[in-house]
Amino acid sequence: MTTEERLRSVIHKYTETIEPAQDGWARIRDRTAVRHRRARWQPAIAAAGAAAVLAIVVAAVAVVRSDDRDGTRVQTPPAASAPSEIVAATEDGRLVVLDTATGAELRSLADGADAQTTIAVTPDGARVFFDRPSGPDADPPREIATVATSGGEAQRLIGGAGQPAISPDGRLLAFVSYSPRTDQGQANGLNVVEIPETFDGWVPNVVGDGTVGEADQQISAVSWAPDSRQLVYTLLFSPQGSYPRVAESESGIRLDQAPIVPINDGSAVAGYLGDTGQMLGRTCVASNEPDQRLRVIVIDPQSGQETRHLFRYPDNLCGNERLTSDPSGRHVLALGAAGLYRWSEGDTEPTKIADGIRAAAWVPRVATCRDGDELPCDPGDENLQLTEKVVVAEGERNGVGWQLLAYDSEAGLCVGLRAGPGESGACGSGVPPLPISVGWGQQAGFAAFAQGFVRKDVTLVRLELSNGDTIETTPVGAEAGFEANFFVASLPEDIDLLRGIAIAADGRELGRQETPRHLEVRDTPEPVTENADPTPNQ
Amino acid sequence: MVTAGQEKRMATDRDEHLHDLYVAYYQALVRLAWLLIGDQGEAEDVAQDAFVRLHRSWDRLRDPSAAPAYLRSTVVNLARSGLRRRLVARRHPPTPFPNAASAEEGAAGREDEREVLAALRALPRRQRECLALRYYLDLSEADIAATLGISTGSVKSHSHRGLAALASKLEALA
Repeated sequence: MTTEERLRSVIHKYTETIEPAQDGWARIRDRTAVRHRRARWQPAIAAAGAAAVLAIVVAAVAVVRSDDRDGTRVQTPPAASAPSEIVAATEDGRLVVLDTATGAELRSLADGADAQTTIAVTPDGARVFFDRPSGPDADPPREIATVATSGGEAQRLIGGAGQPAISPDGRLLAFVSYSPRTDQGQANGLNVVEIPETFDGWVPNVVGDGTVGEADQQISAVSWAPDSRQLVYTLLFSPQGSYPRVAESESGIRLDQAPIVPINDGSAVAGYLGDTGQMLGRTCVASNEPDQRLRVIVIDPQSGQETRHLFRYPDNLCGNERLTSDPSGRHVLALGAAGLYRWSEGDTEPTKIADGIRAAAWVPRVATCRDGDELPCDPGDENLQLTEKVVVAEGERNGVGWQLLAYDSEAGLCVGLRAGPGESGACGSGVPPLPISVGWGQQAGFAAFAQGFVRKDVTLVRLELSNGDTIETTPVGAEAGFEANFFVASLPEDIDLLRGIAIAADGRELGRQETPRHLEVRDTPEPVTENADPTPNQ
Repeated sequence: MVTAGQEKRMATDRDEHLHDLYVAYYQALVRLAWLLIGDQGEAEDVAQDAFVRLHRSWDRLRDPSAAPAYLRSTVVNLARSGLRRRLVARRHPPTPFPNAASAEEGAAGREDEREVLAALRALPRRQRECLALRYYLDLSEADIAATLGISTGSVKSHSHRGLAALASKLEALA
């Protein structure tokens, strides 16, 4: 028998013995249904202050759903939380930061900034670009200015320009330039420049530009695609109609010749829907009821067809509203005559935040998790945090509950050990040869276990137990990054403390991690379950 | 324009499609994941995850006939995920190999077969994935390439090297 035949035979023989549990479909349904229950959590999140959002989410995790499977609770988190802050331009000319949940003014960024139509916040949330009048007699009358989100003096950047849009990679600034007004109108140009580290002595490095063919045509709704290369915009009063067009940022093509996205009549594109690749738009329907006229929708950028209805905006004047998505595409701001509204995935209707706002933009959630950070830290991507953060083990010692948490983040795998009010842990893929976590506990099938994640080149893990025993085990599954993990199923029953962990590679100890102090427990271990696996994993 | 009624119908259509896919492919996907991971509980989680992700992405799926390929790719990708493997390790005690099917056979025969599977799982990831897709799902080189997002040339190369390594290991064990 050849190797191929042998392999095929064995594979089929053994795979046929694998019979999945009957509840697979029920579990899938359960998990997909959770997505529709998000709205229930919005009031809770809405009531939270900015700093409390993460804490509320973590707390909510504990009560949403408990899947008691094999004795270990695995919890599914609730709704995605919105960015906690919004930068807004008020009608009295101030640039302020609002609380997403309550609409309360958190701080003023610049008095007299006189921001007008467009606000753009950098992906790192550090800086705001906005347009404002450049003076009563100026022609063209608009200019772009910038200010740090921490506050300070607004700095004039580009004269004769407006509608700033920052690329998702934070590298490029697109804006519309205006020529001096003539009898025929005011010609528009779409320009792209690199954003510098500092604006002192800045000479704009123009990456791409283009000018419309007719002076009376106006560029509107400039927005970057997730790839930071393409831009979508709408050319108002174009001979072909006000359809959205998609231009390459570096092509320098004539804007009126950029490809048209043929959307339905009555619809308009406001920009890209975060990093989803879809477009955010609105469509106007004939109705005498103001709150029935304007629908905010998702538009497929290829076909131009509506793919999803998001919500209705209570505005009687279709076309005056401005829609802005956050980078995740799960949260939308709608600003129009009826006021500033926010909507989050799962909401059936938008929530009003404030009146008297001229322009608004989300301040993106930014990852605060960095290598070696202690928890809690915010991985920045709510999807990762909310769908992957799980309690992998939990228990109670000395009257204090403890949990081993883990979640994936852009900064790498985050793990945390939480006991009582305290929590500690680490995130990151650059953690040096130490393990980034070790936990221990009990569950059905195990007397007690130790679990850890280690760098892939770690070849040996040595557990030093409080009773003086040492257990060595070989990490498995090393493929990339933190692929390696170790698992010791049966620890001695008489330990009262897992003192620490030593890591070795090629027979040489590389480091050790002490058990977090607040998890040091010295009471009698919990009773061993009847199903305990008596076989050490050695 | 999509009305509320149409939206509801679309959601119903999606759920029905998803259930049909579940009936047709779930078992095979669990088994594929098991081949790659070695743990049944985790394999079930991975397959369920793939369906949940498909549900999320349904609106972006242009061609429903692409769904099985999407599920396959997702299962392979998720099986790669160290996090997933780590998280569920505690829920399902490691079960190296099922033994029900081999109960009538001699211990030597079972060991021999287990060695084949152990050798397969010990292969580098790409080689293991290529061989699992080829000899379990009987996929063509083109389909394997599409599933893994690599070229057919790479599939040939990984499969060849994987088989050679497997033969060498099994010879050494003999």
